Parts: sequence; C-alpha cells; structure tokens
Amino acid sequence: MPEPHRLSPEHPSGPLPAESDPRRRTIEAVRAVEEQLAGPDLGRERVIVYWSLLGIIGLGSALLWNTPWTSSAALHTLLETLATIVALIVGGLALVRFYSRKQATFLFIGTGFVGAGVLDLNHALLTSDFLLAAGSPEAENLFAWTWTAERVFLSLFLFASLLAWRQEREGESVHEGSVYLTAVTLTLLNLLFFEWVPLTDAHVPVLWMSRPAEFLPGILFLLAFLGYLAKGAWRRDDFEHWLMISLVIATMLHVAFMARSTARFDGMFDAAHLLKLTSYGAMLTGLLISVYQTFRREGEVLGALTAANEALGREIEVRAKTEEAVKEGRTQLQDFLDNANDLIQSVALDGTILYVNGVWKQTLGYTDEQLTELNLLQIVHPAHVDTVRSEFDRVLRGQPSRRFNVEFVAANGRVVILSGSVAAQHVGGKPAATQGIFRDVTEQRIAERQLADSQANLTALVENTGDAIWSVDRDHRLITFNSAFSLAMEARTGREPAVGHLPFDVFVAGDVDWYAAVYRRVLQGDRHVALRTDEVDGQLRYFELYANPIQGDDGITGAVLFGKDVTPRVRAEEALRVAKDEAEAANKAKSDFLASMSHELRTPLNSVIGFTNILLKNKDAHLDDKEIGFLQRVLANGKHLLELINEVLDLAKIEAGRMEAVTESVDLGRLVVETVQQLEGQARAKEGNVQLVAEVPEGLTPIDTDPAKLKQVIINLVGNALKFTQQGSVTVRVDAGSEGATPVAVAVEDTGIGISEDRLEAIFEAFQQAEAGTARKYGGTGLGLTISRSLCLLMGYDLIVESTPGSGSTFTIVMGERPRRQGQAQTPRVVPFEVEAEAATEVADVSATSAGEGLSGPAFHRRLRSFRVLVIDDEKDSRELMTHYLEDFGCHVDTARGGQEGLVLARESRPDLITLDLMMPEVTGWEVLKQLKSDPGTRHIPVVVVSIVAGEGRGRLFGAVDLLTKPVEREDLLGVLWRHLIRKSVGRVLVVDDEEEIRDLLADYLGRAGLDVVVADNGQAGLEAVRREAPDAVLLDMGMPVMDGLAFLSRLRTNPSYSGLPVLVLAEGPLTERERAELAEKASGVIPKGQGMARELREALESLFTLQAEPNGGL
Amino acid sequence: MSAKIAVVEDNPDNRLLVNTLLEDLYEISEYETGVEAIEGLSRDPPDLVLLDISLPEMDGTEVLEWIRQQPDLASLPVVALTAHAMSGDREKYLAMGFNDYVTKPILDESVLFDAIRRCLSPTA
Repeated sequence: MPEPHRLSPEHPSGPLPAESDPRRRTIEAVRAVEEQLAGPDLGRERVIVYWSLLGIIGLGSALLWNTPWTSSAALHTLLETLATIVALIVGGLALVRFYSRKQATFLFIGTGFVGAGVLDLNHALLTSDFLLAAGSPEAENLFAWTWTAERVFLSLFLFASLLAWRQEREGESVHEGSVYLTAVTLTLLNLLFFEWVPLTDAHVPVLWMSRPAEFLPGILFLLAFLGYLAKGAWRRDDFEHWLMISLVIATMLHVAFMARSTARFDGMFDAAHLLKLTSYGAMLTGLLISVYQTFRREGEVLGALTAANEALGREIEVRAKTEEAVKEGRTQLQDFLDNANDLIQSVALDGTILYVNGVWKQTLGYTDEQLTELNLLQIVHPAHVDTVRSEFDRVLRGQPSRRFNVEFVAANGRVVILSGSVAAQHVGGKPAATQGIFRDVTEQRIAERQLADSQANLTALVENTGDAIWSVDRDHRLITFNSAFSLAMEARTGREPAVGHLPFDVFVAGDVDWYAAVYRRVLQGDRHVALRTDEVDGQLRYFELYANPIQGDDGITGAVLFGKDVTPRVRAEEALRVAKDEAEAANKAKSDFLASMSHELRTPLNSVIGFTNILLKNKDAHLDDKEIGFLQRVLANGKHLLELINEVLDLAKIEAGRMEAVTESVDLGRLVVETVQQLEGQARAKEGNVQLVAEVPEGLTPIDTDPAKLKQVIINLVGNALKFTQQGSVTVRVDAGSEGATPVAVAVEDTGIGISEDRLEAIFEAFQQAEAGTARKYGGTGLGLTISRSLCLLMGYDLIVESTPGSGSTFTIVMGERPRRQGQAQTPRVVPFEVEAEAATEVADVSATSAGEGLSGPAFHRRLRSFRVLVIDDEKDSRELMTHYLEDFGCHVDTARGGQEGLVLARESRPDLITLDLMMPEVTGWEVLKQLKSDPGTRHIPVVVVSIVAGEGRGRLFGAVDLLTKPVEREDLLGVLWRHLIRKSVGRVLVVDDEEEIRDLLADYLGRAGLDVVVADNGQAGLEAVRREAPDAVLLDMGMPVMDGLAFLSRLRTNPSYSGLPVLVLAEGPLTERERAELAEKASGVIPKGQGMARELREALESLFTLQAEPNGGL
Repeated sequence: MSAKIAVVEDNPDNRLLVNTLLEDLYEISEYETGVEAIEGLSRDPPDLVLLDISLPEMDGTEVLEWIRQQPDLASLPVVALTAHAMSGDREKYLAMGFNDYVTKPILDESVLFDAIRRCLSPTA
C-alpha cells in the first residue's frame, strides 16, 4: 500500500470556538464580581448625609461663634501631630491603593496626603512651643500661613485628582514620575518659602471674615467636591462617598470656621483643626473601607479565578483527551481513506491537488512528484474538463453534490472512466477546496458500451434481416418478436401480435395446429427446419422455418424461430432445374449428333479406304505405277479425312463439355520423360539433325493433374515442334516454381521456323496454321493446337506461345499454383471410362500418322530395307505389331514364338538386330540374352529388350543395347533401329577416367579392337562428350574430381535419350552398399579393376560390338 | 473346310468390301438387316458373325441380344464391325457381349483378320 499523498503534514487546527477562550472568561468573571461589589445605588441617602453634614457643621459654626474658648499651643501641636500621622497613613494607603488599581485619582490623593502630612508636620513643628515663642506676631502669621499653605496644597491635589480621573477617562495616562516630582517640588518650595519669605499678617478682617485667605482652599475643596459629585461614583462607591464626606468637611472647615477665626487657639481655630482631622479620618475610613473591599474583592476574584481555573483545568484535560481521540480518529480516517476502494481526492480551488488516496494513485498511476506539479484539469480528459468545472462550481456555490461521470487520463495514457461526486470543503466558513470520491467504472462502462453496441447490433440484425424472428416459452406463449414477424402476422390475421399471445392469437386459425406441432417438436429438443407454403397477396410463397430450442439451466425453456422467405431461392432452383434439364437435353442432342456424325462419316470412308487398300495390293498386277500412285493419293486423303474427323470430334466434345479432366497425383517429371522417350523415334526419323531433349529438375513434388490429357498436349506440341524444325533441337522442359519443387509449367522449345507475331494467336484457331500453305508443306489437320489449348483450359491451365520467326518457338503449358476446385477431393473421382481410353487411342492414331509421314521418302527408309530383324515374343499380338511396324519400315522380319525358337533362328538367320521379350514362358528373356551373349556366333548381334516395366532391373540386362517398353510405340522402335543399325558403323566408346595412364591404356585397347574412342577426364566432361555425340557405350571410372562416376550416371539417366546407353563401371576397390545399390539401378555392369579385368571387359564389349580382331596382349 | 462367317451390314458398299476381303478365306453369308439376319442365323448358323450396329428396324445390339438368348447360338462369336468409334464405344460393346470390336473405316485389314482369327480360335 503506497503512502497516501499528504501535502500538509500537520492537520490544520481549526480556530477555537469563542466561548472556549479562558482569558476572556476570567475577565468576565472578575467584572461580574466587581459589579456585585459595587453595591447598590445609594445616591439619595448619601445626598441626605452630605446635606446633613453641611447643616451640622454650619450649625456648629453658628453655635461656636463668639464662644469664649481659648486653648493652648499644646492642643494645636497634638492635633497637628495626629493630623500629620493620619495624613501620612491616608497618603500611604492611597498610594498603596494606587499601586493596586493604578487609578491616577489615587496617585494624586496619595501624593497630596503624603505632601499634606509633611506640611502638617512642618506646621506642627513650627508652631510648637519648642520652636516658637508664643505670642509673637511672627508666630501668629506663621501659624496661619503654614496651615493655609498645607490646605491649599491638599485641595489642589484633590482637585487635580479629579482632573486625573477625567484625563484617564479620556484614555490618556498620567505620568507617575511627574506627579511625584510636582508633589515633592511643591512641598519643598512650601517649606523653603516659610524659611525665607517674611510673612504678612494673616488676619485681614474682610466683611465677616477675619482670615479671607482661608476661602481659597475652601473654594478648591468645594470645586473638588462638585467635580466628584458630577462624577457620580459616590452613589455606589463607598470610598468616593467617604471622599465626598471628607471634601464637605474640608470645605466647611475653611469657609465656616477658619475664615472666622480671629485669633490663635480660639474656638473656631480649634474646631477647624478638629474638622481637619475629621476630614482626614473620613478619608482614612473611605480608604480602609476601600482596602477592605479590595481585599474582599480580591478574595472573591481569587475564588472566581480558582473556580475558572479549575474549570479550565478540567476543560484542558477533556480537550486533550478529545484531541487525542480526534487525532486517533484522524489517523484511522486517513487509513480508511487510503484503503478505501474508491478514488478519493481533495483539490484546491485552483485545481492544485491537495490529497489523493492510494487507490486514486494506483488507478491513475501518477507519482507524488507528478501530482505536486499537476493540476487536476490536466488529468481530466479534455472532453470532460467542462463537466468537472461545472460540477466543482456547483458544489462551491452551495448546491448539493450529485453523481456524475468523468474521464481521467492515467499516467500511461489510458482513459479511466470514473463515476462519483464532489463536495465543497470549507475553511472558516469559506469554500477552500473540493473533496471528491469516485469509483473506477472503466471496465463496467466498456462492458456496458459493448453490451449496448452488441445489443444494438443484435437488434438491428434482428430487425433488418427481413426474416420473421420470434421466440416462445414452454407454453407456446410469444416472448419476443421482430417487426417482420409482427407485420407478416398482422397482414394475415388483422391482429397485431403481443407478448404473451398464444398461437391461436398469433396465427390464422388454419395455421395454429401446424405451428403448435412445430413448437411441440422443437420444445422436445428437436432442432429442425420446417417447410411451408403460404399464399401471400394471392401469390404462393415458400418459407423455411428454422426452429431452435432455447437451452436453459433446467432444460429447454423455449424456442427461437426464424421464418425465412425462400421463394426467390425456390423459384431460382426451379428455373435452374429447368435450365439444367434443357441444357442436358441440348447436350444430349449434341452428343447424339456428334455420334451420328462420326458414324455417318466413317461409314463411307470405310469403303473408300478399304477398297483402295485392296486395289493397292495389285493382286492381278494389271495396275501400272501411275495408277498405283493415284490410289495412294486416294488412300492418303482418305486417312487425312479420318484424322480430321477424329480431331473435329475431339474438339467438339471438349467444347460441348463432354470431356472432363480426371485428376490424380502425377509425377510430372516422369510423365515428361516417358512422353519424350516415346517420341524419340519420331525425332530420329527426321531428315535433318534434330535432338529431342527432356529437361526435368530433380525432386519434383507430385501434382494433381489429368495425365492422359497432359500427355496428349505434350505429344501434340512436340509433334508440332518436330514438324517445323529441320535443324537443332526440341526441348521439353519442366519449370519448377520459386520453391523449386512444385512444377508450374511445361515448355516445349524448338529451333524451328518460328511464327510471325501477327499469327501468334491465330494458330490456336481451328484450321489456322502459321502460313498459308503450311498444311501443304508440313501436313497436319490444323486442329492440333486448338485441341491442345482446349485441353489445357479444360485442365485449368493455359497454353501460351512465344516465337521469333526463323529461330524458334516456345509453347508453354502454364500450370501455376493450381487451385483445387470445389468438390475436387484428394482421391480421383470416379473416372468416366470413355475419356481416358479414347484419349489414348486417338493420340496413338495421330502420332502414328504423323510418324508415317515423317518416314516417307528419306534415305533412312532405303537403308532400313537391307536389315533383318528377329522378333522374339510369345504374345502373338505383340509379335504381329512388331512385325507390322518393322515391315512397314522395310525390314526383313523373322519371328520366334519362344526363347528356344529364337535362339535357333538367331543362329540360323544371323539377324542384324534382335528384339527380345523378357516375360516369356519356358525360357525367359534373361536366359535367352545370356545364351545369345555367350554364343560366339550370336554374341555380336545387338539385342533390344522389350519390357513391360520401363527401366526395370537394368543391371541384369547387361549385354542388351537398348530397352523398349511395352506397348512398343512405332517411334520408339524407329529410334532403336536408327541407333543400332544405321548410325552404328563401328562401335563408339566413351572412356571417362581421371587417370591419364588408364585412359591411354583403354583407348589403345579399344582402338585395337576396332572401336572409336572418345575420352573425358571427369563426369562433367563426360556428359559434354555424350551431348556432342552419343556413344554406343561408356566405360566409367568411379572416383573422379569435378563430377564423380555416380553423379555422371545419375545425370545421364535423367535424360531419357540415354536411359538405355550401356555404361560399364570400372570399379577400384570394394564398393559400399549404397554404391552397389545405385550401380545396380543405373549401370549396365561393374568390372573390378585389376586382375581379370581384361577378360571381363572383352566379354562385355563383345556382347555389344563386333570386335575386329583379338586385341593382342590385353590391357 | 473354311469357317463360315455371317456379315450383317446394311450398307451395300461396305458389305461388298468385307466380302471382298474375306471371301478367299472364309465362307460368307450376307444379311442386310437385323431381321434378315436372325432368320438366316437360325436357319444356317455360322462360325462367327460380323455385325454392324446401326441397322434399320432391328439394330446390332438387338441382334446380339437375340443371339445370346438362343440356346444353340449363345456361344457364337460375334464381332462388332462398326463406325461407332466414339470414346467408350469399344468398352460399351464388349460389355454388351460382343467378342471383339473393329472400327470402320478399316485402315489395316490385319486388324479385322486378327479379330476374326482370335474369335475363331479362342484357345490362342
């Protein structure tokens, strides 16, 4: 769990509530106590007291007037001394009071009384008996003025105290030091004044007063009194009350008494002093009461404070506990937030992110560093910024929060869809931030969207298919349906179907049972398609009803039904069937016509050809040469006509679609090699020097094709190429694809006359040959290429031609990557027997005819007349066919029905060549061959083996010069005759060996035996020598540089022209198993080098050639 | 004693041709139609029948069928000599029960002779 993001480590401590401020509470408690102590308003009573005092003192003054009272100085001194003490006490108390309450009033009162005390003492001392001679006028004045001075001083200070109060009330403070300084200065000046200044007479009788100077302090005291009266504190404050009393007394003592004192120690004089002491006493009383009250108040305040303190202490304790609880709660809350499953955030008004919880960070992937720099609006998906702003504004305006969706962009760019709400966060009553809590609903939303999409798609699909779709429950009640269903049903019943409807509500009465039956069947779990026809708008329409059970957890819960209008399909099928029937009928008619044509054309030709043949026998010899020539022309044209008929019918059949490709897996290389082999004789029979070559890459993969048709095309193309090539070569080449294994094309390349560009396409058209008059010169029907191309197209191939007039043409069967057509399985289809068989027959016909033409005339024919051939074959048909061919070529033919007869005939007639069937009863071909080769009289006769299987066991056929496969083709036979009778005047042997010494030795030996010798020093050179001019035999060394013996053999045998060429391997040392096997397959024989080699070689050569003489000395 | 061959052929030229080819070697009886043939065959059974297929009224296959149904003629060699030389015809006729099949026009007489010889000496 990552540490949640906290921007302020301390939680903000909110302001304390007002009532919880202890200082304020203390002040208020004190004030309450003071108010309580101030006492009630006693104004009325106290005014009465003041008036009473005034009255009493005034009355006293009246009473004492003229009373004969004279006291002594001692009393005066006593009174003044007492006054001094009281004044100092009062002053001291007042100052104490000042320092306890800091009221300037008390400062002035204090300093005034202390100063008055000092002056009173001075007065007492100066007027005492100890210092003053009684009775002197100076003493009289000193008495009066020191008294007055003191009184003025005090009255001034008391008045000033009033002023100080006023000043304080105005909010200005009184400077303490200056008050003291003033008091001390005035006191000293006072003292000094009386020391230095001569005093005037104090008694100046004015009106009724003897001492008018006493009025001055009297007036000042009165002013002070009036001032304090105005202040009004006296009504409640006991001290001020006593101050008022003191001021009343002081005023009166001056005005009513001392001013009227006529002499020292008279009644007025003493009363005044007594009153002065009384006024001091009143002050003292007031102060004492004040001090008492202060102490009392202090005690009560202290009690209140203590109580407040205790309360405070309790509160602090509670508060501490609360805070602890809050703190703990806060920690728990933090944990709770961090571990909440929802995304929680606190965002400042400017978008600064203050706090996010763990899930928030996990979901969006931002780090703390990123968050301190990011604004929330940078994280919000741009399309949702306005939403966020407006939601924040809403809650900040005080509107209730509400749920909304918003998309955030996570750190990795993923869009996260959140759902939640925000709330305003207030600090000091003002919005300061927003708190949001969201849930990641991305997957849910995506799922919802997908669901909604798929739902919408499904609905659209269901609604737009055009098919009626509906579902029913187990009780056949309609659950859902689309509008196609609704409309169709309404059109039929006039009632709109509704959910819950039963079949008789939904369908017309006649259909209810039918649908109910379908429902019952499908609800039993039988998923099926029901067919029905309905008449809609007077038209018959076909429907397929696909009924599918709905499989619930507890078995089948209902069924879904699709009603598909298949009328167009049914109609189309009907139309197709009709069309097919018609086409088939037409095809049949065409086939019948072709068959009739064939028949009708052949019938008269039978007479033409047949009778001509009979006439040509010239039995009675009464036809002359010219007439025979005419008959030959009739015969040739009759045959040509037959050929034309065959080809035209072929073409017609292909074009009528009656011919089908019958594919099977075919080794194309083998097919080409065999085809070329078959055509070799035709090439040999040409007058010029034309080589027929097959070029087939090794390791071809088999392809699916129609071998008979492909072979027919190749035969046509090679026949064509040979026809137009007088010099050079015709090459049949298999091209492998880019992968080098799959054949993609077969090309037939010639070095013939070529075709001009403007005729390139025309040659494929029926009866169009390259040049006008071509047919006359070269023969042919002009249909071969047309048929070839049609066959190619039939097999899915193309046939193209490239040509340069004068240098040759290339016809290419383009096979490419043959796509498998539908319905064409791996295994060959059931083969319509007619196709293959016919193709084969007709090919044979065509080639037989063209080969026959190739033979007519050349010198080759003449030369063959002189040869005698022995045919050894047990099969009568085969024997007759060989005889037929050979006699046709002009040879003398002897036939033998078996091996024994063959051996006898061979010895007797000494033929030039023997054809030997291998598979014979009694004496097998191998045995016959062995005996022929062991008999000196027959050893030299070349034997051509006729085998059923091509290339079978060549190793066992040592001594045979060539190989023919059954069925023997005319051309092949011709090739064999050419190779072994005409070309072979003397034997021609190729010696392939890398050791010069051995080459020379062999060449010498062979030369002495009367053979032509060609040498080559390795396999490669050997192949080139073979290509230049094919030898009659090869003597082959095994180990050679560049290309060894085995490689030479392999390459040699791939060319079908050399598959029968005898190769004798001269082996040095023992052979490996693999070599032995390979040589048994490909070589004609193996002769070990060394001892006995000469004898074996001679035997071998004798079986092949007629050696001139016994070579002397051997090897 | 040469073998007797019945030639059933409606085309007179072709009948003459076959006759010319075979008359030196065999004893020939000619029939122009299938109906004529079955009359003649039952009257004078030959050693072999050369039977054309396309015949008026009753064609060669019907004649063959009739022959195969006759107890005394059932094993009579019958060679189809026909201008029906389309692909598959040979197999078709051999499957029907013809002993051999030779197409017209006869390019090489020996084919016909071979066929006749084979049929006359089934052991060969």
